[in-house]
Amino acid sequence: MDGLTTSETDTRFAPLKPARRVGAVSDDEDAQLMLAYGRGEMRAFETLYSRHRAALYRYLVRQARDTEIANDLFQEVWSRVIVNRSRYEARAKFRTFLFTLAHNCFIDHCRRVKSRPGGASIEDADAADLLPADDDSRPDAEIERDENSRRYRAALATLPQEQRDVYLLHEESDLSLEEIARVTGVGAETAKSRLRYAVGKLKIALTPVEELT
Amino acid sequence: MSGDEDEFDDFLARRRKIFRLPERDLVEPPAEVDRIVLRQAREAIESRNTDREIRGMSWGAPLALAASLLVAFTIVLNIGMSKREPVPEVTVESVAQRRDATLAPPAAEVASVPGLVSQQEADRYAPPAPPAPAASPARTAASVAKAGSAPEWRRDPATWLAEIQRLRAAGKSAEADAELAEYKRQHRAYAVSPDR
Repeated sequence: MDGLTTSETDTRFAPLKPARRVGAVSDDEDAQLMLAYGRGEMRAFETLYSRHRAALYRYLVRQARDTEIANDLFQEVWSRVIVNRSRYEARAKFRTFLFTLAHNCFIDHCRRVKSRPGGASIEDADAADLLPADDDSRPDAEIERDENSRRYRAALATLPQEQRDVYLLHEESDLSLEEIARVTGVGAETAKSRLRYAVGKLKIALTPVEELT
Repeated sequence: MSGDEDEFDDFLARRRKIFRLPERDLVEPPAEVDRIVLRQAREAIESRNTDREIRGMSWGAPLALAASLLVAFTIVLNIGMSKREPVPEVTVESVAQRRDATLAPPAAEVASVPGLVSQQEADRYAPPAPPAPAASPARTAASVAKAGSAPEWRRDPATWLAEIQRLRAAGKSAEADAELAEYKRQHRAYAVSPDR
């Protein structure tokens, strides 16, 4: 059951698998699972959920930069999956379908925040990422990991919204460039250009892999 | 520059990582959120199954068909019955006849012509006469005639109508009109042709 425990009292999932594992899962199988859930098979949904929950959550956390907002958006995305279960057609990959919903939910959220008088801007969340981490009496390795994490989040926060969106979709959803373009509603060349800019900026802000190894 | 291009192409093709993601950032949704989503998914299909059970009951379709047939049969039967037995028209005469039957007056006093009522009965059921207008001579004559003893020809409608025709033929139009008006007042249920 792919690391999923269905107990009502303690619904826990197996230790995190890297986002790359998502791509290894057969897209056809995902589509079949979604269709099975549409026919009323709960276990199909549980499998589907266990496969995509982590990647989707990371995408939303990185986009919203607030776990509370990410939690709400995460539930909203899955709610839409559930509501649309009987209308789902296996014409596109399930991941494309899922991340399109996530992208749209996040855009809706941004519009709500902007239209709210005195509402906190998404960009306001960046300030916390840019502050120095409070390193008290923790071990050096842990402090270093926190420092790397903080730098990564801060670097992501400096990206323009469109570039961050394309980069996170590439990182977390494992979608192809064409699929990312479809999710974000732009052409493939535009998506590629945004991704190139995003990677260039992150490279400057973060330590490249070769320097770490 | 081509090195950067190759690096980016490798990154796009997921053959290579440009930078290492901090492990601490590999976050997961909280268990509570997992529970909420799974519960929502389960409730959605359970409610749908309940709907299906209600809609798809095995006796539902036959019951609906039987009910439809019953209603259709009842309508057809009702229409057929109403065609065969026309409802008799309710007229003053029929009501009077029924009343006569219940009151059981002496048979001799009731007019012998079927469907007609006696003068007394007609007077009993007739609405009160409107106040007399200031008076044409003919009307006055009719009223006087009525006030005294009613003429013999008034007892029988047919005779009365014949008398009206006779007056009109004799050129006594005013009297004929007055008699006709009185006749109409007493015999409202009778259709009198306008030429009388």
